[in-house]
Amino acid sequence: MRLALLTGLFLASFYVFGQQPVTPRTLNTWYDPAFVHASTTDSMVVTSWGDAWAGSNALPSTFAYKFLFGGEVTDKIKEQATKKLDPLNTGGYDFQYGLWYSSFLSFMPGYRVHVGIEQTAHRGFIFTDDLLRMGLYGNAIFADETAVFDGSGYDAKAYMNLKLAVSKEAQLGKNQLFFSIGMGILEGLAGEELDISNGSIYTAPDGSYLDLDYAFTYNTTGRGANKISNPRGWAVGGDLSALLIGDDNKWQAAASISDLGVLAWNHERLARYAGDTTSTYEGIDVTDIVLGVQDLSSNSNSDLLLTYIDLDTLDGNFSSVTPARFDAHFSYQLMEGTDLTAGVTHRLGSSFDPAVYLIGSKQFGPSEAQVMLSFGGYGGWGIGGGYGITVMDHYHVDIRTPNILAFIVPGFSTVSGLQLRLSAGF
Amino acid sequence: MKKRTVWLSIGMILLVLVSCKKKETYWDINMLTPLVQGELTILDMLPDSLTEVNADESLTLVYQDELLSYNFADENISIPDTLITTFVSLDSLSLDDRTIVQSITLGDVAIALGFPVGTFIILSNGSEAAIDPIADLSSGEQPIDATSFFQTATIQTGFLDIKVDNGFPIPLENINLTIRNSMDGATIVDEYVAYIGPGETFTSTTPLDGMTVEGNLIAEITDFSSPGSGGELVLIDTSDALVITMTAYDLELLAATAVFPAQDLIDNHNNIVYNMGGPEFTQMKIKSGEVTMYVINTIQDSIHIEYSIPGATDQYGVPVYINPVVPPAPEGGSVVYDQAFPLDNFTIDLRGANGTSYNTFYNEFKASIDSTGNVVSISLEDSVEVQYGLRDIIPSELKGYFGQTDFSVSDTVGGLSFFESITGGNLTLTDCDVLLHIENGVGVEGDFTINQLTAVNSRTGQTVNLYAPGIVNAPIPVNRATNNPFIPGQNILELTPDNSNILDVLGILPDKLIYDINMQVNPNGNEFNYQDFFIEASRINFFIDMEIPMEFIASDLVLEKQVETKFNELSNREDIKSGTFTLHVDNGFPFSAGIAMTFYDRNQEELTTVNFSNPIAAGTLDGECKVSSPTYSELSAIIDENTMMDILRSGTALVTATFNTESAEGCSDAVKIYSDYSIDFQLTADFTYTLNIGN
Repeated sequence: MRLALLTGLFLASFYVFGQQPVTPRTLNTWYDPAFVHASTTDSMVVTSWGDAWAGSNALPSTFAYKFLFGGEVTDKIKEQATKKLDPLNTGGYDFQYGLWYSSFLSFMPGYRVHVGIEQTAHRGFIFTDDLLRMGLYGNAIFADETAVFDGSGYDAKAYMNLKLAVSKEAQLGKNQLFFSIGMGILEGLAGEELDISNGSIYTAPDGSYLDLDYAFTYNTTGRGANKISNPRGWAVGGDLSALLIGDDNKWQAAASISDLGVLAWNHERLARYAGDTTSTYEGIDVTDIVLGVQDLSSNSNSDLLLTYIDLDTLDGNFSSVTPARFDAHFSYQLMEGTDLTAGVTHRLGSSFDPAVYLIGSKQFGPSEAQVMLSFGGYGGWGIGGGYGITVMDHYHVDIRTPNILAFIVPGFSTVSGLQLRLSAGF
Repeated sequence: MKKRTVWLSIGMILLVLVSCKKKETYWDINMLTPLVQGELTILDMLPDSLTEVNADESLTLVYQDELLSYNFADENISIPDTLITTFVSLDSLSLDDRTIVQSITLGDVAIALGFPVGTFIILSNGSEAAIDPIADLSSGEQPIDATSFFQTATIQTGFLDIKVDNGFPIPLENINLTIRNSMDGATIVDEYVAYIGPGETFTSTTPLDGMTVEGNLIAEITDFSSPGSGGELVLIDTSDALVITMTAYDLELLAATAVFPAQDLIDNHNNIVYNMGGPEFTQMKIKSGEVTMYVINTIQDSIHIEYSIPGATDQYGVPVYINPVVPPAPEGGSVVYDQAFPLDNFTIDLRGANGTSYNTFYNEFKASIDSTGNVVSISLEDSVEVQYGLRDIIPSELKGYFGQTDFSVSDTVGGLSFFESITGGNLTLTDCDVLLHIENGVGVEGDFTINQLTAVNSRTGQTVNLYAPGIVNAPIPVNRATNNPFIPGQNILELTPDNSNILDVLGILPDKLIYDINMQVNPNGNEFNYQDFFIEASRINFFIDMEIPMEFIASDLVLEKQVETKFNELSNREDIKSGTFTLHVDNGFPFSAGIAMTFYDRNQEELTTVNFSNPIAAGTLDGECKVSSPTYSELSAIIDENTMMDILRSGTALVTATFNTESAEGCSDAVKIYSDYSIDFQLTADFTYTLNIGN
């Protein structure tokens, strides 16, 4: 996961054998299939890219940074994290990086073929305020209170995607249309799903008992390192994109959807559990241990846990909808070198809500600056910006964040991200 | 240039990855939770076998333990090996009687005489003629082939008869007959015969003692004469013969290369007598053991061995009989034969060949050679070294008279295990009933004497000798066991507070007993006429049976129990920080208890001790001197971070509980324990835990 994160944050994108591409004006990514698959005049294009985005409706960026980069979650961070909680909250993060190659098909004029490999890591959370507070402070603060977890859950997926797509340039009236269609083989590396339909814990004032009431399901492909050589599931995914450019280059409109599919997990370490019970926990009965009938090591912690939370083990495999990415935007050239873009992006099948955004960009010779405003996604407002510059005619550097406040006042910001691109073209 | 760009980009990526290694994410949480709980009754704490519920629900502690299990046979009876070693040169070596006939015809003589007399005799064959006197004749060397008899033989004693039949028509005079070996020329027979008339026979006997006779001999009449027919006509027949018959007989050899007839070399019939040092056994069943046979043979012929113990039979009545064959020795060498034959489950009659002895078994050993038709060389210097007999005999049953013996047994036993956990304080019992069982599993009469029985508390060093007139230091007769069916004899001795100081003995909470016991076997001698017996199940056992009513006064009575915590094997144990641990107890027993726990590392080095704030309060006795409702206590222990670290390094813990009984007005100081008494406990914790979600 660390490799995915850091690679996504710092991976350079570079272009060879061709001109600098059009900068995609989407909210959360340098990568947009509509552009990757778009035709250029170059016979051959190699593209490498990386994206990262994390956010929550309530958790500050300081909290996210601790999760992402490690370290102690201090009392101050806990206080910030619990200050803006709603009864039900969301959060999540996504990392993606990949490598693409495309060229014209000599036997089909106007068509390009695209081959790509990508890796995706996604994790989304829905949690009640009690769940977060219990997770951060423990149950002692709930003495003589009931902590409620109804509707909480999370999902996590990691997969490798080997893709093949075909694009075609066509004229649509006076406008230029690029569209592409592709499919991918998804190798599932890890998957986990928790769905708590209802849950609560009452802690007795003196801690002498815990009243537990819960109904949940939990599916996992097993812990342990994710290895490409050890797939835990498979899927077939689909990509579709279209880019329409006005005949006067004053405007462009694009829409795309990628990684649309269902992952079927089938690894031998796959496990599925369900709990649906009401019970009172008064401690592990150690009568036999006191009497010497058993020793302390007779039961493993997991055995005892299974005994007291009354877990049922479910048979069969499970499947997960991939966090497919949908993006649509429209750009309009206000004046020479100045564009305004409005768009919406979404991740299907996750706790990600549709995010709307507005991007303004301005060319300054070899440089371009962006300002952006967004709302939605894993939660909260974002005021971001980006800057790109071409140096020595061949090298292009881009840096962008969806929310600059995450660096300035991370304790008060709930959206964070960082996107870097280094490219070289000849 | 393009490659440089690619590698530059990759290098930048790797630099960033290496420099941004993620740390673990963690934070502290405060947990308030029950940890463990349970409910214990006195019946839970003591095995069913140790408790007895009385009619009023009060309890009696019943306890039985074995103080001694003495295997009389193992300790007092040992069957020695009975290996007999015999180095046997051949007693005798014989050959069958044999006869060889050699003839000298008249024709042979005529040829030897030559012209004119010999020619005349030959020409006169078949007619009558007068034969002139003949002088100084010789038969010439006549070979005698005795190789079918032997090739060479050195004779210890024996005889050779020479019979000469004169078949000539004329008398013979002055006959010199010699028989000699063809190789070394040694003369075997040298006989002079003065006169043998026609048709007459001469007989002589020659002793062969000390002679070496070859198979190829030469017979020769070196000189003889004849007066002739005296002018009378006699029928001339050149086939008429002088017949020499040689008969060897009664040959006892020193050595020979010959075809030997079958003959016994060793034939021993023995009574083997065991020296048992007093006991007189008439029968023994063997649990394990074997017959061994070790033979060194220098004879160039197979040795046939037959060994039998007619009085030793298996469960089917088949006696011991083994008949191995020892292979022939190579020339100038020897062969070794070494075998063992198991005797498990054989029964041996130990009354000897005549059936009137004891400790004796009769056996027979025979070694012989068989006639094979082959020529072999054997001398009386050849030998057979034999070791045979019974070895490693362990009896499973014995019968007979076991003699009059005394033996003593003394030892220290730690059998009183339920006192072992009590390490201090005082326990005052109100009553007890102790039975000492003496069980005699041997078929002998015995008088037992308990010289000493001492209780020891090894933790405090206290000792108390049992004092019980008529029981300690007094002979206690115990009947012999009976067989078919096997029933041990026994005597049961009762120790009560009235006839002994048994309460003092138990009052020191002994964890060990020292005993010194003497047994006199067959004090009245062989009164059962060799019917004493021992079987595998035979033991002399001492048991102690105790019944102790659970009514006592405990004063600072300390119980200690070592438990394995294995906290040092917990993963992420450093995440558990300080906290307050609270023990909630509902005590239904009429005694208070202070609890402490001392933790030790894997080297049994003390790490720390946790004392709870106050003792568990005793259950309160009601008007019937019984706890009707339990007393609630809350004990807490505040554990700081350093103490917690020590606890979590521990592998074991010593739990110490200090008990004091608490009575009530109108009740005896001694409290009674009832079967429905119980103690409920629950341990809760309010502690800090570092939640580490890794990296």
